[in-house]
Amino acid sequence: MSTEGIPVRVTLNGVAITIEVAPNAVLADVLAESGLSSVRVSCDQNVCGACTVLVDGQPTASCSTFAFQVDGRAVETVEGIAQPNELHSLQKAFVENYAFQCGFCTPGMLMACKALLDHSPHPTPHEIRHWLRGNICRCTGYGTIVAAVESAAGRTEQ
Amino acid sequence: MVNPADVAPVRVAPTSQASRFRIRPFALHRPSSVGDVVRLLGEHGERAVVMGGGVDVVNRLKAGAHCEHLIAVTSVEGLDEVRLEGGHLRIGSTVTHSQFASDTQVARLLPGVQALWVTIGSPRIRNAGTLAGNILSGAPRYDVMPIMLALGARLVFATDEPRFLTSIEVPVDSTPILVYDASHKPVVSVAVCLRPRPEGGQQLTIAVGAAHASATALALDLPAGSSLGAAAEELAHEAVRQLPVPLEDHVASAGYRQHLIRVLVQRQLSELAATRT
Repeated sequence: MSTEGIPVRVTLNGVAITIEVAPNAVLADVLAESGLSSVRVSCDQNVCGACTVLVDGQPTASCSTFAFQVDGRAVETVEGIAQPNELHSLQKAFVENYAFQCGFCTPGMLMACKALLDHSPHPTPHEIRHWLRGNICRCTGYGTIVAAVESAAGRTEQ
Repeated sequence: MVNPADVAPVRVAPTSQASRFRIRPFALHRPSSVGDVVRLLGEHGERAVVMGGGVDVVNRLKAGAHCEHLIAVTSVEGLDEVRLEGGHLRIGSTVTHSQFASDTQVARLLPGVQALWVTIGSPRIRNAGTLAGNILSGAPRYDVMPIMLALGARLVFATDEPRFLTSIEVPVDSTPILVYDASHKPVVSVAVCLRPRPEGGQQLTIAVGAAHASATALALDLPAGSSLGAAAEELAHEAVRQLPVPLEDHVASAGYRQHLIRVLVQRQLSELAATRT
């Protein structure tokens, strides 16, 4: 039983760390307070997908996950997908295909798309749209996002 | 890019501006056995909340649900398995939608049911959410309850602890054929299941979601030799006659829901009849 801070061992963007969290601490808040500003909360109810991060490679709503639930697991945010001097192929594709406007959904959208390509390297447009049904974008109409994912998938093939 | 290794471990209180809903502090318990869960529920009673994947629990806590003790059960041994036992498929209460959708026994014994699972929620929901949690949420518009009712499943609770669901058991000694239509949610969803009866003929189970305070079902016996296609319209009318009067709310009138139930049942029965010819 624990009401005080509890240690959470997590591999965060490839780096193994231990953080002490309150049992009721939500993962989105913990990540944001760790300096990962890409993690933002929009609906706060696991509907919109803006807060999507990857936990063990799976899309996860950080707004609706307690920090203790990622103990012993790997968490990835957008800050971790690029190399020091080069954007991830998805990030490049998003830029080239104008796959964002206001950008608020973009970190969560990128992480969801990354999970898709990690699991299914060459998805069809239908598969992309179905996968992204949990990530809402008010700006783009999704067409350019689908094009960006296809472009990144083709780049991966090369 | 901020290197998290450069950030010293700090005690994090929920003071960030990221979340708008605050969850009250609670004591966290992470039991490893069903016995421990039963003991904790006995000790803490109504002050305790059981959490599996947390998809519904976290939202309820954000909405102010009372919780002084959170019992996280994902580490409880034996609950994360799908097992075939004595003619039943036993789905442990921490089995996620993703697990269920990729389980080889489910694929073999309930192929049509497994194919439905890609339509439930989103990848985030399917990875974290459990079938048991979907049922225990009590939300009339959720999908798992009408599907499980149509399949004739039963809920298994811990001995002497009716607050702790340990598994869902689906009879698979005869292969059920199930169709499910949720395209008209939030007005209504309908699941229709056909399975042979040992004594001959077939049992037709019709389950309706989103139309009543909770999902509801009825069973009809079809005599041997009866034509499902020819009887579809009459069976659909009979289903509406036997089901409770649906809800009347801002979404739809009771009459419209009854109309849709009849249409969807008839359509699904015709579909079932067509696939079997």
